[in-house]
Amino acid sequence: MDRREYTAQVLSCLRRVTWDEREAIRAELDGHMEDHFESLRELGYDEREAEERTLAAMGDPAEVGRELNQQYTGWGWVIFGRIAKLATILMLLPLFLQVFGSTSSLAEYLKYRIDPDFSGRTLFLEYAASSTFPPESVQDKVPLLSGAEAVLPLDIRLQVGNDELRVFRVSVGETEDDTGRRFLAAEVLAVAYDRIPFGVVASRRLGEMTLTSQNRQCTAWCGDFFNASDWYLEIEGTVEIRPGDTYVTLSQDLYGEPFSLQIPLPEEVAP
Amino acid sequence: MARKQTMDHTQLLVLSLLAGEDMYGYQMIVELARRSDHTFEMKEGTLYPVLHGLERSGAVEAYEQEAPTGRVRKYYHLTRRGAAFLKEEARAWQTYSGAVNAVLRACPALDPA
Repeated sequence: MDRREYTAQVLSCLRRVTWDEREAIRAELDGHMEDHFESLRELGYDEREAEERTLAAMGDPAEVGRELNQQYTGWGWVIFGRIAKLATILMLLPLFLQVFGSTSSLAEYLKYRIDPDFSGRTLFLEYAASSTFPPESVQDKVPLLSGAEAVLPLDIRLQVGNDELRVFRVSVGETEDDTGRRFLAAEVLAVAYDRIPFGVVASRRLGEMTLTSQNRQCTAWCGDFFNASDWYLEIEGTVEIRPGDTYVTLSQDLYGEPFSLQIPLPEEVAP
Repeated sequence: MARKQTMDHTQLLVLSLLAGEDMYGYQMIVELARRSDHTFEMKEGTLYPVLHGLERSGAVEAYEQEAPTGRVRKYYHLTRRGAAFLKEEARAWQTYSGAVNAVLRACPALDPA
């Protein structure tokens, strides 16, 4: 038995304590044993001996737990506390969802924070040069990736102010513009969220960036295409590239804090 | 009965320690051993049921204070109710110990002569 187990055994005997009381007792017993242990160490005992002597001096944890339990005789606050917590959660849940979005956006937000590339989402490469981008209904479109399609999963993170920009996928494939001209393009997918969980992301800052090809001759808008929640931004951008390009650049120069991020392209595309 | 006596003695000793200054648990153990010349070396864990009982009865109150090492310790402070309780218990103990001494003094087997 070590000190942590000793405290756990004492606490296991307590039936009528609130969570706060339990944690206070835990801290007090841990602190006491730490004091005793340190005193013995200062006297020259090695760690194992000091631990054994500390535990021996504390006495039987079951007896200490039983006697402590006798001091906490009322169920009143314990039951009241549990009911109050449950009632608070039930009352705040609808408000929480109303303010911050639906349960589905909550689930999506959590997935984005854990693994952004979770869904193998639809790619929007076919709208690369479209003047109507972002499209009115992105959900109904079929991706147009043929021939040289290649996908590279990434996890590039960049802190921008209080937010984190996280590029999680880049794809390369052929697409065409409104005039029917076909060309090679790279699509970047990213997500941005506040570093503090459930904080509001700076959508004006990260909602509009620039994607530039390697030779800097092609530039395209890159930003959030679907405003699902205040917690996160789903970011997409597509830019024309040349065969053999190895990277594209995601950048922004706003509010006096410019940043620039090189995003590698999948090697398979290089001729 | 013997158990209750032990508990009462511990309460009395704890209250008397706190009459001088506010203390935390381990400090009380060390001080009790020092003042009693190591006669009272209780199992240290059993101090806390006594302290928590006294706290719930209003004889002592607790507060947290950060030590220079950064560790937060729970200090106990004797309340006015606790001070009154201490006086009462000390008087009862002196009566009790006086009575025991009187009986022992009258015991022929213990007569040094």
